[in-house]
Amino acid sequence: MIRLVRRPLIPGEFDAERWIPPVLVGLGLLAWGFFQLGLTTPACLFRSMTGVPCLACGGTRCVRSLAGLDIAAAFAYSPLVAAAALGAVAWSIWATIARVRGDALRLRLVTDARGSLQLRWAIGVALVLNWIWLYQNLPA
Amino acid sequence: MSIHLARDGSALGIFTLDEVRAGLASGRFRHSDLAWREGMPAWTALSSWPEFSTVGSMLADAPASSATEIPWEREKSFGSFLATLRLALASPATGLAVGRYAFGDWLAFAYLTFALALPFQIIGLLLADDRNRQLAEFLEGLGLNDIAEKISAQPTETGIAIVGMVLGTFLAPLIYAALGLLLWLMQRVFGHKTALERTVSAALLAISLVTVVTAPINLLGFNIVLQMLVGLLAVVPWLILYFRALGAATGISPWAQFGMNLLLAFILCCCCCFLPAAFLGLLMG
Repeated sequence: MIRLVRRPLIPGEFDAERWIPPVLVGLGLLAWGFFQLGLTTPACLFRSMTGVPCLACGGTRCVRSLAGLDIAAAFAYSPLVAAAALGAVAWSIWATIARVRGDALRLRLVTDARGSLQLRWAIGVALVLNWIWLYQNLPA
Repeated sequence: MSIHLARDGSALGIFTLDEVRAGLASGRFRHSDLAWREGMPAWTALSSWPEFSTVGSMLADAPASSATEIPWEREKSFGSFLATLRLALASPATGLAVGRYAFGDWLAFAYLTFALALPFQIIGLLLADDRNRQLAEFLEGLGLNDIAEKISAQPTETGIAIVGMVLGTFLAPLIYAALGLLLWLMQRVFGHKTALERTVSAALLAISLVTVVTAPINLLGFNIVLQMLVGLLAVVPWLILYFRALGAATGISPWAQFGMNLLLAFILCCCCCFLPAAFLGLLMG
């Protein structure tokens, strides 16, 4: 079972809606400023040594494209990073609106043991598919 | 009727009335576990639900969340700080297993640790007449003349280096807390349900332990090659100390923690290794 539910925050639970949106805004500003200054990161050591991309290859260029609002290029560099980043942005907007409205119910993904296993497999498969995409399409 | 259950700040899942009854009878659930169902304004302990008041034994419910055997969590003093370090070194598996692991406690612990390590760093810096020159000589010995030339062209500015160390002391616990957050995400991926606050606090405890133990290595700053050599020799004991403490504090096997941290380090390799290199490259033109 994998379900999205709305429920109150558990006492002692990390208040993701409170902390993650400002952290993401901060990181976004940092990334934007980093690239505005013309700074770049060096090439991937794993790729330069082996000739094949690592799991995170294309991530920096993807974030740079997102910082420049070039969504298509971001997906071309790393579909998984682009999807995760856009998902985080969408969730942050939703969380901020919910907080402003004073909504006590929080959106959470709930899984049982089988659902948890399925979710982990899904993450693994997504990583592998993303890596195959990088292997075939990521420019040097 | 679906009932959400939670313990120690983490969700246990969604269960039916019968499953909760059976869980309480078998000991899988406790009366102190929190429960919520649609329409309720907040979470309440199962003991306050009339449906479950006669099921299971109330005696089985120890107030685990407030219990602690860690001296630093019982009182804040230099003595309890040292006692906690001794406990983490000598018997982490038993000593660190029961604790509250409140973030504030362990952030303070980490700041105290890094503050104590700072004099060692400064003394090490002052003992070395010019670390960059020493490093350049070492790199020349390895045949890396281009890099050595660039480094030797920038003599160490002691004042700037000390300011950097003080700034690093301020930032380091926050950076390790952020790494603790990433570790928690990794734990979730691998199905470990240790609470976020406990994971972050455990990461701060483990890095504090290693920081204290390895601080004296900075006193070898008069010879950077010797310092690097001793540092390398200390890596294995460093890892053992770190993962024993981290594993005990998170309730996860040290080997599993080692694997997850290794994977995390691999994913972060660009940030860990190459961003500093990029900044160094920028600084050196």
